Amino acid sequence: MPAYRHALDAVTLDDVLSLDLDGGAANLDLARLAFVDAYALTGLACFVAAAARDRLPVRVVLPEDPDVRSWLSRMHLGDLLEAFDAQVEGGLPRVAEHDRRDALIELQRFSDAHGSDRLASFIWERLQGGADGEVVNQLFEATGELGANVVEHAGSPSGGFVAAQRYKAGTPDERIIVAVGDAGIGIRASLRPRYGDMTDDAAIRRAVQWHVSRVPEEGRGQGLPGVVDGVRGLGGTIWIRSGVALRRITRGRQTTVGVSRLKGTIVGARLPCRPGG
Amino acid sequence: MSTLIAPKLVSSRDQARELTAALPDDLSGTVVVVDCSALQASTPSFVDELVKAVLVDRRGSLVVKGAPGRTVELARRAAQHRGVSDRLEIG
Repeated sequence: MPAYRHALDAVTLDDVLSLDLDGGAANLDLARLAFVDAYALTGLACFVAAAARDRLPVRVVLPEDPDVRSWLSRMHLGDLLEAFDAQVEGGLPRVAEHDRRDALIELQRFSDAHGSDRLASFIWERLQGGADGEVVNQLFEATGELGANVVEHAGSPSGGFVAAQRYKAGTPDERIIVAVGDAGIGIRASLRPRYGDMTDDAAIRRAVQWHVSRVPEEGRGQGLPGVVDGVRGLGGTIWIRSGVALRRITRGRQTTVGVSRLKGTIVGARLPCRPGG
Repeated sequence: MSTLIAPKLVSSRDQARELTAALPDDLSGTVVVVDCSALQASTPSFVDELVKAVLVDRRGSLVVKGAPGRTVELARRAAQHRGVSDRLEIG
């Protein structure tokens, strides 16, 4: 039995992404994956969309582990790869889509405010009853606000992507991860006209402050800081990746690590399903 | 008085603009009641845009009726930030 070593998440996403500048291709090597979370799945979608925007062919090596291949198929990664004409070695299996509506939000694409509204409502309907009401409300607000940011500020021709999953159901560690991403201009370029040039890390730090917005209008700049405050308040974690920075924010700690440049922005939230215990 | 019915779930600023689109441009001296009895969840952006559309742009008064606690909190915050709390009523 081969050893599948990689769990792919916000921190390890770079491990499977590479640009072959000589060959002129974007590569996704998923062969050794043992697990892919909803944030990483959204990140894969953004990478594929960004490559398509740059007219780079995308080559994909699928996971060797049949369980991971089945999960990616169940999360509709195959539809995305097909939509962007990716070259896939082998194929994702067809899987029976048993009703897991309380646990999965398959990878979905949206391109306008109505699409973002529909997805936020979809998240609420799907997760209601599967977590505390305040958690479901927070995820609704997060999806709505982050989706609106993509539509209004991201400059992403391919729109945005959303995925979510509930993990460890029925255990004290039960949690939900939801992620919204795009292949647009990124936070730094979005804020530059109003706030001047800065690093990607500084741009993320600025964007999570109240009333900081590309749009110079009263009342703007509540979306991302509201999501960060709300998720932190429930004991959750936020990851914001834009440009070459990945910032992790929890109730007591904020850290930034350097990552490879990825077009656009990916924001993910992990929340305990029952913060009160 | 005008009454608007909020749907079950509202998220984008566009939805707030659509909800208030039929209101006259000048609501001075007019009360707009938003019936939120069916509302389950809202976002800060939707509520801020609703406050802006009725209280700031059209200079009316706003009664938010039957809303969930979180929506009430967002409405109070938006009205306070925009300096129009005196024309917001929670019903």
